[in-house]
Amino acid sequence: MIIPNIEALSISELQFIAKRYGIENGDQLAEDDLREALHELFEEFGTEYSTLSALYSPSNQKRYFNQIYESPEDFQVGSLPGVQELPPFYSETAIHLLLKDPSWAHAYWSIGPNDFKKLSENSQDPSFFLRVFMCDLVDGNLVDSFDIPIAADDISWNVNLPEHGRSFYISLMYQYDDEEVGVLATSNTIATRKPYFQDHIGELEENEDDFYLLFSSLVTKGGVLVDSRAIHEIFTALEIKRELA
Amino acid sequence: MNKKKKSSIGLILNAHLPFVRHPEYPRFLEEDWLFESISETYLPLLRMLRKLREDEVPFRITISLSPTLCTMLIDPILQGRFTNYLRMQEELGKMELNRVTQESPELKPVVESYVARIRENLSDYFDEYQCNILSGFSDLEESGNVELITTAATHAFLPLYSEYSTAVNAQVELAVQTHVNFFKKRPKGFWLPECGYYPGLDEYLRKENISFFQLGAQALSLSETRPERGNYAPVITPSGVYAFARDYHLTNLIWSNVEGYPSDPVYREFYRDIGYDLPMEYIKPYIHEPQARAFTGFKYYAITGSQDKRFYSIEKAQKKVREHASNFLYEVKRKTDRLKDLLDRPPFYTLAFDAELFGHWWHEGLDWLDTVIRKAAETDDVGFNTPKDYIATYPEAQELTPAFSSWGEGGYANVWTDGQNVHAYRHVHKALERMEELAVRFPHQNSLKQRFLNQAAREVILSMASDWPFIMHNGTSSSYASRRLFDHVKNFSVVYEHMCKNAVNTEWLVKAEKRDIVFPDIDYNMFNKDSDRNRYNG
Repeated sequence: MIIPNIEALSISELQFIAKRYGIENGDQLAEDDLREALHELFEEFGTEYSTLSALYSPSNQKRYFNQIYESPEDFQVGSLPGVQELPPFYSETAIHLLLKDPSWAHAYWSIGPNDFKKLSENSQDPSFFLRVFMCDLVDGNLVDSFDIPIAADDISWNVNLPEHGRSFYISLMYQYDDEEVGVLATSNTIATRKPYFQDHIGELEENEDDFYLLFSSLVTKGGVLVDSRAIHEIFTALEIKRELA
Repeated sequence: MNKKKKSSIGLILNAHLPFVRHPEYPRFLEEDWLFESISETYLPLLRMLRKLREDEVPFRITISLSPTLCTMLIDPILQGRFTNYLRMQEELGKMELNRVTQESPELKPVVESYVARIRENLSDYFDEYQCNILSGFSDLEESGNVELITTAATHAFLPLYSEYSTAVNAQVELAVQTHVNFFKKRPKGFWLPECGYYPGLDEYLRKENISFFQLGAQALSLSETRPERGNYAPVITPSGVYAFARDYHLTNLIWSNVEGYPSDPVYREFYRDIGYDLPMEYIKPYIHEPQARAFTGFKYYAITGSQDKRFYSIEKAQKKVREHASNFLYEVKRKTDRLKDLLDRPPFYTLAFDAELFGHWWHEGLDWLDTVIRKAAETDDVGFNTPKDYIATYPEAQELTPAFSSWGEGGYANVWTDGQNVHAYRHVHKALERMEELAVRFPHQNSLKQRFLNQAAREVILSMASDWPFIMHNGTSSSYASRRLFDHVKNFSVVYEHMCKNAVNTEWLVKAEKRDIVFPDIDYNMFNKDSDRNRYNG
């Protein structure tokens, strides 16, 4: 969500945005009231990404298509003959894992009709869950696993990855009341790497020159760190270490 | 590379727009993205660079021209529409001159500056480039001032396709192929879309003989290996491709909305435009009424709060440009002095931006860049060089695998996998799997089936563009973006369903080919996992 510069917009631009975001009677509100309504709206939208560092993120700003206009929704892009709507999901049993960041992955899945039929043949209703496997990055040996219960109609989930420097995969599983457990599908494997400095914080406090060389390009003139949780974690750990010392 | 210089700036500008072309409509609002970019960034940028060359100012910069942008720039339909756009701008400029002379004479110099730019654009576009501005970029490359590089075929955010090796390979191979078609030489550099990197991606670039790419600022610091020279020198990846990490500190002097130069109150406000401010009956012929009001490019206010709306003053803004150029060089010098004894070579500061920042978003951005390059040429403190120059001068580099990273919010893939867009990957990934299936089941087809399968490949490649999920994330133009993304997947499905019945939908094919003129030489066999071109991926 781009937060437009509300203060700089004209009344007609404000009215345009208000209409787009469904503010009732936007064209009848006084300019100041309209600004206030939009500020409230964007505060609501902005909670997820309203950190100060997000303002520094280039992908969030200054793109040619960050305009305040677009073709109305009923303005159709020309459809070609024979084009059909897409299904919400596909007739297969599969699960996929996407790495969002070192702490989160996105899993999406579908259960094919054959598997659904097989499951429905049992007199009991199955419960479903995701089993997350965390493995050693080098030898692939299992380090830990945990389960996430899901509803029968869920088709995707954001999964927390508890440790860096591990590989992960997920199985889509079911269980009956009699404790019979089965695997429906297993995902691809994703890997998160452990940054060198996560285990070598001490090196950064030992030598100020080294610290400057390695990290001065990650901080703005105003002292804001690059928008990266892992970098923030390294700096936080360093600060704690310094305070303890 | 001038070794007398104490440091180097590696300026990399990424000129990219998603493929937007709707000949089925007489005018299409989202095509204005291209027209605004040509008139406010690309043509003025070319003028600025040519003038620097004419004045014998030494500089070398890197410009990435995306395959989709290049295709649109040489398309006769879009060229014709841009011509109309320029003519309308010229007409509006004349009207505005008359209007402000009567109503707000203090605005006359600003209007005159817009009118002058429109006239220069007209002259350059028709007389200098004969409507093909790519020739302007080629010319600057031939004179050694610009290094032209490419980026992924449709600017896909590649980490989200790491499981689909044929797709990543296709994005790289097709990009290089398109660059060769346009510029008759292989690119040495590759702009990673959104600075999106994952370990192993460099292998695809090496296969296409790419020498370097750029990275997000944190990519080296978060590596499993300690980066010995920080971000001030490139590293060499295991595949042998050099990687240059952005300097976040210097970049944000220019880029940041909070502390960056463009936010100075004397600069021109981007959002205030007569397309919204003037009465409908006056502005109607120049916007997209009845569909929507839109920007016209005529903007008269300085950046300002709602209580203090001031008209834009060119004089004040130009004074500030000079101050900011000096300040930037001062920051560079200060940094270089501090690094002097910490490095075994002069620091290389990688500054990577979307090209459209300069001129389009930051109205004075090109004036600032011009001033910085000229001032830098007068001292030994810093020079403008390309990554290729640097590699040639300092081939030794630390071997290191950068970390998974991007320049997006949070530094990873969250922008492209948020609640607004993540549902798309189920469909795009499925289309990629099915494309691989088709390529294996129907290899080396001829004639109509070959065209049908090539169009399928074109559709999946177009569906991978990072622009659509980015726009969906931002909520601006999101319905158009969503329609575009899913339409490409739906179109792919037409081929898949027909090929499963061993049939071709000729009517669909002819229309689709006519609409999607991008990648005319695409070969769907690139999605065949069994083919030689994909064998290295295991």
